[in-house]
Amino acid sequence: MALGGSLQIGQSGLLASQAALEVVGNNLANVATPGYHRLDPKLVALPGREAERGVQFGGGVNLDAITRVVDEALEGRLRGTISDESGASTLVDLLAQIEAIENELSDVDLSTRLTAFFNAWSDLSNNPQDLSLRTLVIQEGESLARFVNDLDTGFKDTLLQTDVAIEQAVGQANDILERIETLNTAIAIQEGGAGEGAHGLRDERTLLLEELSQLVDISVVEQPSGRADIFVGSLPIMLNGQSRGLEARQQTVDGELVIDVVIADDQSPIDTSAGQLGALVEFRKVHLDDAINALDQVASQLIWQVNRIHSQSQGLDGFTSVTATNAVDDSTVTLDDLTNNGLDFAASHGSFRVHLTQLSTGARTTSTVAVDLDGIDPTNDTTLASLAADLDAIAGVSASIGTDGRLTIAAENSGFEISFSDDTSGALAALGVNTYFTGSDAFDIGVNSAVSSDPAKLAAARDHLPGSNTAALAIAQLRDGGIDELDGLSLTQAWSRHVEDFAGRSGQASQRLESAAVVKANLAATQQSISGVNADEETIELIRYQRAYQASARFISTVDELMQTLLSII
Amino acid sequence: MAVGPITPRTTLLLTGSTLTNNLLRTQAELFDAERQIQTGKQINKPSDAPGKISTLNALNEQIEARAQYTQNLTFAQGLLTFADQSLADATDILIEAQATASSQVGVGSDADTRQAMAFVVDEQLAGLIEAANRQFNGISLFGGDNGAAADGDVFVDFLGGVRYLGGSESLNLDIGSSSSQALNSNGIDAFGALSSRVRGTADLDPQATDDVRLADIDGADARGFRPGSVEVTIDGTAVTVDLTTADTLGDVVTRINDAIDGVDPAAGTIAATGTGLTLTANAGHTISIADLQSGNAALDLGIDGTTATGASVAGSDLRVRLDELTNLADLGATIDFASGLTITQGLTTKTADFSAATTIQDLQNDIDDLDLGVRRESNDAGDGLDRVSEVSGIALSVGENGGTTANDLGIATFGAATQLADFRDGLGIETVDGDDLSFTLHDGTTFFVDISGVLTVDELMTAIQSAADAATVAAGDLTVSLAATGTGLVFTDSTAGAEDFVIANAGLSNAAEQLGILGNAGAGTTINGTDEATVKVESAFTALAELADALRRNDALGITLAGGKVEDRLDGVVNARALVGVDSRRVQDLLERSADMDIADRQLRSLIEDADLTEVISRYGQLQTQLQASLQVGSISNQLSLLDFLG
Repeated sequence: MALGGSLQIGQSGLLASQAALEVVGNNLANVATPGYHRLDPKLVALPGREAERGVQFGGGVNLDAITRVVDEALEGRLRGTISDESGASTLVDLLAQIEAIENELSDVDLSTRLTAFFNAWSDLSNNPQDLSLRTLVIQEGESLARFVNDLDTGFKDTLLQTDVAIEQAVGQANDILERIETLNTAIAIQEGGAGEGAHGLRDERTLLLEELSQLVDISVVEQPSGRADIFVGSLPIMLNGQSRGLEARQQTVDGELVIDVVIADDQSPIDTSAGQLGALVEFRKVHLDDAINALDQVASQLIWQVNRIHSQSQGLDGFTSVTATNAVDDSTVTLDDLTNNGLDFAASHGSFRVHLTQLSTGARTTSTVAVDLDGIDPTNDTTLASLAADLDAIAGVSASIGTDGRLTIAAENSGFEISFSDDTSGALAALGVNTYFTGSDAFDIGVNSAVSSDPAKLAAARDHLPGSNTAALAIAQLRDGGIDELDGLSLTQAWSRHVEDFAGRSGQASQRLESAAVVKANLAATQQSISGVNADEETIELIRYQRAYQASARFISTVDELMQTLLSII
Repeated sequence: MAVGPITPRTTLLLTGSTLTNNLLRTQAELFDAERQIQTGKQINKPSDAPGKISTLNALNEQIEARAQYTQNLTFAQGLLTFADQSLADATDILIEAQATASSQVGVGSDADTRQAMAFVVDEQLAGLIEAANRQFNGISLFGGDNGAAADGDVFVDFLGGVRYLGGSESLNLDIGSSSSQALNSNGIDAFGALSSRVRGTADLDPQATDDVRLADIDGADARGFRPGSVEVTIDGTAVTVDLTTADTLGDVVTRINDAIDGVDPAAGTIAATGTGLTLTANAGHTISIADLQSGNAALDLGIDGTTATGASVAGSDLRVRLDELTNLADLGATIDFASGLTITQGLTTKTADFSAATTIQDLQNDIDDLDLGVRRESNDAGDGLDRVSEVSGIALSVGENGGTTANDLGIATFGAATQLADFRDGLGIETVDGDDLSFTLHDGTTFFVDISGVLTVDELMTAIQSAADAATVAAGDLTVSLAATGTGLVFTDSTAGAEDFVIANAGLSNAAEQLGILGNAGAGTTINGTDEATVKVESAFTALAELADALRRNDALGITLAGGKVEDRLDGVVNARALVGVDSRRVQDLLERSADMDIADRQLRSLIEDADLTEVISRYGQLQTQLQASLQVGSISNQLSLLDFLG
């Protein structure tokens, strides 16, 4: 072997060690860089020449490759857990918002307001003619109604904020996809189809993929060119390295605005069962909707049940004229056809009584008004128009329908008052005649101004006995009385059931978050174990390659001495 | 707490993130422990303990509801204490009145003294009214379910008597829907403020019509109408008819007929007729009606198991109850509404004109228009009308106005069926051995009547007529009848002669006087008896009013009788006070039980909701130590590096 060849061997050692030292240095430089995957220099002995048959000399060493240490399958699983944790974390935060709005177990919550409302009626039952207690009932009703309104507003605000959050998350996802698209191109150009080399770009892309995983559960398939295709479920949101874009699509279904996430290219809805987007969509579609519905159901039944009792009871004073609070869109539509009459509550087959009292004598004439809604011979079924006609036919009573679709019942002559009783049809409550509450749900519940402006109109009595507390007792006992429409639960129980339900949901979400966090921590640790940089390890590598460099340099020095010795002979 | 992963190879990032996570977790637990220490509660929001929130909510609801019920019971306790005091005052007043009556009987007193004592009794009556009108926090102690407004009265002066304006039932207290307790008392229970005798004895036989509400029938099984479905079988085809939302008998008829029409319109019909439903199957058809399994609707409607084959079959009597809107034309009994009533309350007599009335309510309005303090109530069976006097201290009589209205309605205070035992405010007629009444006619015929064993006015008239017959008085020469207008008996002597027409007591009997028929018509032919069977409210007010009246009249017997009534009413007030005591005891028991249950519930809630401070503070200390250790270990491990040891 020629000494020149030996110098070549020494040179290769110097070069390889120097390159390996650079890799180690780079690893050490990125010891704290998030997303960095350590690089592993692969040194390979170079083949030499055959000195004589069967005798091989080595050719030195060569840096064959710098490998990015990565377990792609692990990275995929890690992205999945990132998505799970992000979704669970988001849902926990969102459910906490509901919990904060409801504020249960405090003194400022719906349960407390319901209790105060029923307590006011209970107090009134102890002295039904006391005007201050009547005023208190009105105040508590207004307070309850405002609180329910505020809860509804809180929920609706959260709904809007969720919609904005979905829009923002979709925008964020699109931004990430665009950046990945750019990186895809750069990686493909830099690697030229070699499948590796663009380590920094790949690390950056990995970080972006993890960031995208926080938003939506993705799977990644790398093409031979180095470009990454990204799928949500089976649908590609990035194909051939090109982003297909995401959109938050709003549409009205059954009168309600719903939102889902679709691919911008073809409007295909993507599976949003995980990740932050998934949590936002699930929260909006399921949890927030359930909370709004639960509140509406309690508010609606509160209105209906109280009004059913109140509308057929009597206050200290009757009405010279009373106008219904609820309007009917079409007065020729039957009172149980909510789809077409515009009412929120349906009357049923039955009847009610109208009493006309002459104030000077106390003489009372009673008339029964039939509400025919049995469906037999539909031409006879009661509409607002026919009801008004029936009422108008009662001697001394006039009834008319205003241009706004509201029924007005009045005593035709001064010195007479009207009152109501025995409503088995619910028509009075459905139309809002002699009712306590107005509205139909949490959004518009309020106290009837006819009552709030005149506490004497508060109907605490039955049988036209001013001192009777029968109606006040009946309303107070709604506190724990079962209601068919609430599956036999009372109003307070129904609300408590909702609170319990959401406590369970929060608990489940927290458990999901905890388990996802543990899995993610394990996988992240494993990923770090594989791809992370250990400073001590790299220091050892540093020493190793330093020694290798020193050895090669020593070898060159030795060859140099040999050459000097040889040349000195000349 | 989750334990961090153990990996074969650690990195700076892994160490750092693990340390950060552990520190954050420890700090979060420290924060939670601090919160529990500060609030004393381990559950501050529902998600803190999803598994316990159900129990916690239930406990909170119970505790909050019980607080209101306790407040109501406390209110009732205060009211009952006031009621007890009022009844004690009433008792004292009646005892004083009783003593007054005793002192004024016999020779120890004279007219002037009695006149003076009458004023004393007047004051006692005023005191009793004041006690009966007392309120607690604006609610009438004895106003029942229609007490007066604040500072108002339920017992007021009226036509010389004392009128009760309160309700017939007591107010109920809100102590939850599963229990009940009267809040106040009513004037009837405490003072006997309404009359009890003018009870409608006639069955007016209200008919079953389409307009009758199902709520107004007692039902064939006397259990009301229990909503449900029935099975109607028309010529072998069974149809289920839903009657759960039926409101009236007309609804029942409409739905069953609709079912029949749906199978074969020619098969037959059902209709409300008479006292129930009548099922008619036309010739060649068979219709049957029965309850579905476990249903009772057909049974209550009196048509369960009814089968009609080419004929009409009447169902059972539905026992329709009178309602304010019951049409007078729909009463099965024949009533003379055209004549009206003559009603006398005290010294005021008025005529009730029912000629324009079409409903029961019209009758009430017509009577209310008289403003005599008479209220209408349906009798217990729901098929007759009662007339109840609200006015104590004066007499009520309800008689005819030329017709038979009072008798037809069964509310005449002096009618054929009136018991002699009810005369003289319930003292009855005292008879002697032998004859009680003596009759002398114009033709000189004299005969005597023994009314021993005679129970009613009708029997009395029969006994007199029989005695006249036995004395060979020609038929029609002496007639005895009820007054055509007003009340009382009317005797007519058609014989000719110079003798005076006289009705007198026989021997030592006072029966003629007590019956109100004592009289001498002279040459006249008619003796109009007076009404000694008037109705008075058997109240303490009546007793005192009668005592005062007797004192003014210097009527020793009257004073004695009134004193007896005062004693009777005193018993009633004492009984009422005892009942108030019972109620008070029950309220106290409920309060004590409520307090016990409240403590138990609060203890249970505390176990669930409150933090165990000993445990939390211990944990807080441990967490502080843990945090300190984590910080120290973290700082040391991050400082150690191989680089530090290389030269």
